[in-house]
Amino acid sequence: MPENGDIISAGLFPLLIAAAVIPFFVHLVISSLLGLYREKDFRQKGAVAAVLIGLAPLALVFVVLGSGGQEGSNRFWAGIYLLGVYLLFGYVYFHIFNMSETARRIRILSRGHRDGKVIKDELNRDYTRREMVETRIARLLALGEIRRRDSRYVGGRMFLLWPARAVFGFRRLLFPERPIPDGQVPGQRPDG
Amino acid sequence: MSPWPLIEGTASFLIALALHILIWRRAKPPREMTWLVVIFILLPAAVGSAFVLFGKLELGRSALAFIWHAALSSAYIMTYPPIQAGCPSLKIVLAISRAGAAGLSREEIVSLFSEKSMFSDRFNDLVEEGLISWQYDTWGISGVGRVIARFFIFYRKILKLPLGEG
Repeated sequence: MPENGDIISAGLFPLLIAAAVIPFFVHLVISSLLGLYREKDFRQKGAVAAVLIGLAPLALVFVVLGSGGQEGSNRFWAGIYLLGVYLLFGYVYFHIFNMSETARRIRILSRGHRDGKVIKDELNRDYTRREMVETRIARLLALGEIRRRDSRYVGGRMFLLWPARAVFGFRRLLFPERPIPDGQVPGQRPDG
Repeated sequence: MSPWPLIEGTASFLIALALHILIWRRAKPPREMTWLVVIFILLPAAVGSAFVLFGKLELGRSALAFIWHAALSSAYIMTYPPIQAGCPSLKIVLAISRAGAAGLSREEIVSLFSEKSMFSDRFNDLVEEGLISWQYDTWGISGVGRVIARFFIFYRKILKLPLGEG
């Protein structure tokens, strides 16, 4: 079995650096050069697409150059390791993009930076609770997570259901004394 | 390559996660993001470096284990804001799931949220993190806040996208 020095010579470390930046550069090509996924409700899909497309060049380089003579289980574990690191970095990249798109705190900071000051009441007036919620409903509709039936919203693909349960479950573990925002159990109907 | 860097990196991440849960359940510290970086990145890096310096761990394998640990930790740190703030989109998904076939009207969804949780609490988070501060007679963006704002403005510009709507 090769020692870890062989891993370095095999080019795994340069590939790890590449794994950290590939999603961004692919996204740059998709959004900036090709002009894809620029519509308001589809931008998050663009970031996901960038992460998935980025797997192809990384896998190609790993197969052609990166395995550096490693064979059998060494090559298998190097591949698993690289894939895992890439997907985690891809997840981080998606969140950075998502913050730029959806985070209320980033919007407050960007607007404050632009205006040179932060006037809380003005921000609150321009960016109402209704507007925030309606923006999110539109995004969930565009992602197919929810559907509109007559005048009501029902479940769609609901890929986000388990992540949502995990996030709120972990929230209860981390902040046992803190109620769910607005004092409601997530998922409970307003009158429930 | 052996699976050991994956196992060791995962183990050190779980130790950091356990430490984080313990501290937060006792008393959540101010400037949460700073403390997350300390617990998940700086402290493990310092401990790992010490072991390598004293010859207890091999450099190459430790570096691979730390990169795996850092990737897991970065993913967790990026997930933390929705956990802390109670991501509205995820809350809507849960509410609609709970409502079942009857679904929810737009008004019922809006009524799940208060003005406080949607805006004031997030504003207070920025104050607590030191990204917004009271300057003379108005709220202003701090130095670190400006760096973050400039980063996101530049990032959106090179993607040829307008500023996010929040």
